[in-house]
Order: sequence, then C-alpha cells, then structure tokens
Amino acid sequence: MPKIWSVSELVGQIGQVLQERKDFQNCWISGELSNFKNHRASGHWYFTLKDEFSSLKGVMFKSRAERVRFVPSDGMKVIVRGNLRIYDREGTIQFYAEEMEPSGLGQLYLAFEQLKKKLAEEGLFEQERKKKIPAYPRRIGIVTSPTGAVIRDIINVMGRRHPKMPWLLAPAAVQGEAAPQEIAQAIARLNRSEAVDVIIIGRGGGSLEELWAFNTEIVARSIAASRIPIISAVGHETDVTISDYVADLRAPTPSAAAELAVPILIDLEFQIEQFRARLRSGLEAQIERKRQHLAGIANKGPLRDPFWRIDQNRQRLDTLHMRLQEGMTRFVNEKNGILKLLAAKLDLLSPLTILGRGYSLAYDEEGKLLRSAAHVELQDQIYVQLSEGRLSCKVTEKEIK
Amino acid sequence: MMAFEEGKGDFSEGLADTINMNILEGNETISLESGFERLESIVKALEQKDLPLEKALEYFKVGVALVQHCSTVLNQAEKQMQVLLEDPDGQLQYQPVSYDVKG
Repeated sequence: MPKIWSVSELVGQIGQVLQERKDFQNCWISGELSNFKNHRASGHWYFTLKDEFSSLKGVMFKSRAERVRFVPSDGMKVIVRGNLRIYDREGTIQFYAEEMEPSGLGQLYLAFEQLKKKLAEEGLFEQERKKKIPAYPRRIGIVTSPTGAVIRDIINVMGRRHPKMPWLLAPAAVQGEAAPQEIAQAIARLNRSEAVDVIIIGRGGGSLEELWAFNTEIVARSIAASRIPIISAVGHETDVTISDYVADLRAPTPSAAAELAVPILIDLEFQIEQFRARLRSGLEAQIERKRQHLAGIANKGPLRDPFWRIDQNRQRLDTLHMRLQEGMTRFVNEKNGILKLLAAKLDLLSPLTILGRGYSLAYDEEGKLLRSAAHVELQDQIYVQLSEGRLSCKVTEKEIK
Repeated sequence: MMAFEEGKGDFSEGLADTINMNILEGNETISLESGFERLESIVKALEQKDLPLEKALEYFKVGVALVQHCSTVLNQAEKQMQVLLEDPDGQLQYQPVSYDVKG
C-alpha cells in the first residue's frame, strides 16, 4: 500500500529537503530580473529570476532590500545571494534573497566577499593586530602613483600641517594588471628601508574595477606583513576595500590620511613650550613646597619663640620659690605652736611652782638633792631652797624612817 | 648633540625608577615621541611629587635638556622629498624629487 500524503505534509517535507541541502542555503544565483515589483506597502521586493531555459521566483524582504545599492529593474542581469525555500501556501519554490548585485560586478563582488571572509577568518582584521599610528613620525612613507592627484593632495596637506615633514614615496601603479604586485613591493621596500615611521597607501576614487588592486590578496597580505603602521586611504568615503580592513587605520580620503599621519608643527612647538613652562613652574612649586615646609617648622615651638623655654623655666622657679616660702612659714608656725604648748607643760612641772605651794628642796654641800636622811651626817651643812630665798642649815638630829 | 651623561646610573633608585634620566641612550638619538613621553613623566613628578631638592633640580636639568633636544629635533627637521626605488640587483635607491604644489 503506497503512502498517501496530505498536501501540506508533502509540501512540508519538500521544504525540509530543501533546507537540508546546504548548497541551497546561502548560495549565489545569476540570472535576469523580470516581473520586478517593489511592494510599496511592505517594502518587500518580488521578482522572477530567469535564464534561457528556466525561471525561479524570488523575494527580498525590506530589511535586505534597503541595503541594495542599486535600483533593480526588469531585464537587468543580477547576481543574488540567498536561500532556497518552499512557499507552503502555493507550493512553489522561491529564492529568498539576502543580497543583490548587478551581474557585471558580480564576479568581482563575489571575489571581494570571499577574500574578505577568508582573511577575516584568519584574523587579519582583528583590532588587536592593529599597530598604533605614531603621534610624532620622523618621516612619512607614501605608496601611490607618482603622477596621480593623491600624492599632490597628501603633499598639500603635509605642507599645511608640517612644512618640514620629510617624506619618502614608494611609487606603485594603483590600477591595472601590475598594480597589486607593485603596491605589495612598494610596501615591502619601505619596510626594508626602515626610513619611515608610518605608511600611507592611497588612490583616488573609482569604480570597483579601478580600485581592484586594493582588494587583492597579495596587497592585503603585504599590508598585514608590514612592521610599519599603515593608513589605508582608497577611493572615496563610501568605497571600502580589503586594504582598508587590513590596514592599521582607515582614512576616508588620501588628504584625510595625511591629516591623521602628520602632526601640526606649531602644535609640537607649542607642546615643547608648554613643557618648558611646566618644568619651570614645577621646579618653582618644589622650591615653594620646601619653603613652606621650612616656614612650618619655623612657626612651631622653640624656633618661633626662642625665649619661651627660658620663660617657662623662670615661671617654674618662681612657683617653687613661692611654695618654699609658704612651706617654711607653715613649718615655723607649727613649731611655734608646739613650743608654746610645751612651755605651758614645762611650767606646770617646774620645781619652782612646787616650791610656790610651800614645798622646799634640800641639797647637800655638793649641791646634790637630798632624798633620804641616811645621806647626811649630824653636823653636816645642808641647804634648803624655798620658793623665795635659800637657807643654810646644820643637821642636829636625824631620824631614818 | 647634547651630552647629558651625569644622571647615568645614579638614578636607579626611588622615583627615578620610572623616569629614564639619560637623554641619550647609547648612541641612539631620542625620538620626539619618547622625548615627549619622558618630559611628561618628569613634569608630572615635579608637579605632583614632593621630591628631595637635589632630585627636583636633577629632574629639572634633565627636563630642560630634553626640551632643548626636542626643540632641536624639530628645528633640524628639513623638508626632504625622496622617491624610493629598487635596483635590478635589489639595492634600495633614494632619489630626490620635487613637486610643485600650491600651499
């Protein structure tokens, strides 16, 4: 029993088969445009691509169509990049275009895209590879035709910015068969000479064919191999070549390249003047800093008031002196008090006071106080001290208790 | 050419580490680019750092010599227009050339 497909099933399967064919995706077709319609409301383009024997419907959506740089029309031979898909609703195979170029340029364009992709994959356009354009080149290298307008433009700009700037031209044809080889050799020659700090490669605007030398692999590789930084200035602002991608810097025009490469002489002179002035004021600032530091030290402590310490010592001495006096006075006063007290006590104990109460003292001839009758003999001379006056007596009788 | 050799070796310490004090490196002349770079670091040091006086004076001296040198480099620059060609045997050839261009 053969399988019975539903229409949508089968159309869906065809769509899948188409998508699985890698060479139907992101592929290029060349053909003639017919039935070209620019759908005004959506901005999408609808067309048929045909050749002698066959035709294929095509669509280009607005977002892609906006990038096409020419206006397509019926009968025009074009080369289109895109994907082959099925339009389910009608069961028709259509070409969904991403990019469209007029066919004459198609080959070159394709070659350009292929080389660009190849070199990009090798990393030749990477930002990290880019060499810095020196700010103060000693000499400018130029690769261009010795007879073209480019060299004159560059010389004019250099003369205006830096009339003393030396330059070295490595002449090369910039269009025609020999151009790629000559440009590559000129770049290599400048590298060998080591006489320049930056290289400008340039040519004026032209058609894609005329600019072609700058889209060749040999030129791209010679730029990549250059040890000297390269500014690429090919064509007009809108023309972008492979050289522009590989170069260390892209300038929109050769004059602009000269502006980027050549410093302005009076700016340099001004800069040197600035350095001179800054050096002087920098040194002055250093000295001023020292001066202030010194002033700071001088304003502090003993240096500011040399008598300060002496005065302070004097004050201390005065204080001690006063304390000494006070202390002495107090001492004397205290002792005086004690003395009076003792004097009063002494007075109470004085024998004279006792005698005043009617007692008397007896002494022997040698003046020793007599305490016992046993110490005297009869007929001894003794003395009796009274409160008032003194008696001289003779012992006539004695009795020991 | 200026001979400013005094600084050689004596400045291997401290702040001078970051600044190359020799204005001549061997026999090679200092380019405007590195001259400006060195001047920038010397001037910054003078402007921002508190330097010992002798060092500040040394910086100043070297700086002035560098200014002199850069100025000489600029003044000595002479417009030189040449074409670079190659002999059949691969030798490089420099030929003077003149272009009439309006300024």
